[in-house]
Amino acid sequence: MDFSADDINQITSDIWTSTLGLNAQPVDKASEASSKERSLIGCIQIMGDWEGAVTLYCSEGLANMATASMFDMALEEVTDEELHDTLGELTNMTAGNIKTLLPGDCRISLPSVAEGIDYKVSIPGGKVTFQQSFECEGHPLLITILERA
Amino acid sequence: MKILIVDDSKAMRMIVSRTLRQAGYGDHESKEANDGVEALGIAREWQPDLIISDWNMPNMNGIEFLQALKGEGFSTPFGFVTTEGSAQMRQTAEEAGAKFLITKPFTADTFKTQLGPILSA
Repeated sequence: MDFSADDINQITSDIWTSTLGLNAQPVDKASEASSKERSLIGCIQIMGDWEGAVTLYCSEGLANMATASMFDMALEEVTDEELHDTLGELTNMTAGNIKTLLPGDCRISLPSVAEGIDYKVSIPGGKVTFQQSFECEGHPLLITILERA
Repeated sequence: MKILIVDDSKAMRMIVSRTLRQAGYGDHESKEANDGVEALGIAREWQPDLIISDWNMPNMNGIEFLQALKGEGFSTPFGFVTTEGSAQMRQTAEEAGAKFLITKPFTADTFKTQLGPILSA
């Protein structure tokens, strides 16, 4: 299945603007998070007539800003639990909206979130079918859609 | 009025509460639950006037929660706030007795439109 960049950009912009008041702009290639910087990735699996996954990757700095905005708190008050909750919900919203673009009957999983420094996440059997970089408040944000063969 | 907010994400419960305030419904009393099981317990004891629930939750999801409420004879106005708004899900929600289905992301205006008739009744 081919995804339209316009659709994904609109979904992302709507979520980050209306929920967080942050501006996520699509870019050709976002500045890479430093391999020494902590980053987070949220993942939702999609099952049914179309099978795959949606991942949302961002730097810890951006995840902190998003969490502070979501919980209406200062950056230094953000806890790991709130950080994961926020990224999970942002991934959930992204995947849920992408699901409406899919054909047939599909359902989405609950979100999972991983974090670390210089790590790789693999979805066995998943092939990247769409990827778009964004820049938000100077931080990288990456949305990837993987389709299972 | 008493509003029960049900979502497994604390962040989303915060956003729903904030949006209720922005929509002008901040004076209503509210309680929160993490999933359908917890929400059902609160509904039995607290008897809310409106329930706003996520769909996709662990333990007991939103539609199972709504069906459990109906099975126990509750007629409390119930609406979904969920990431998924397909025609099929809207039909399932309506057939189960939901008054509205709001998709995430949402605005205070959406809340006013959907919740206004219920909260001002």
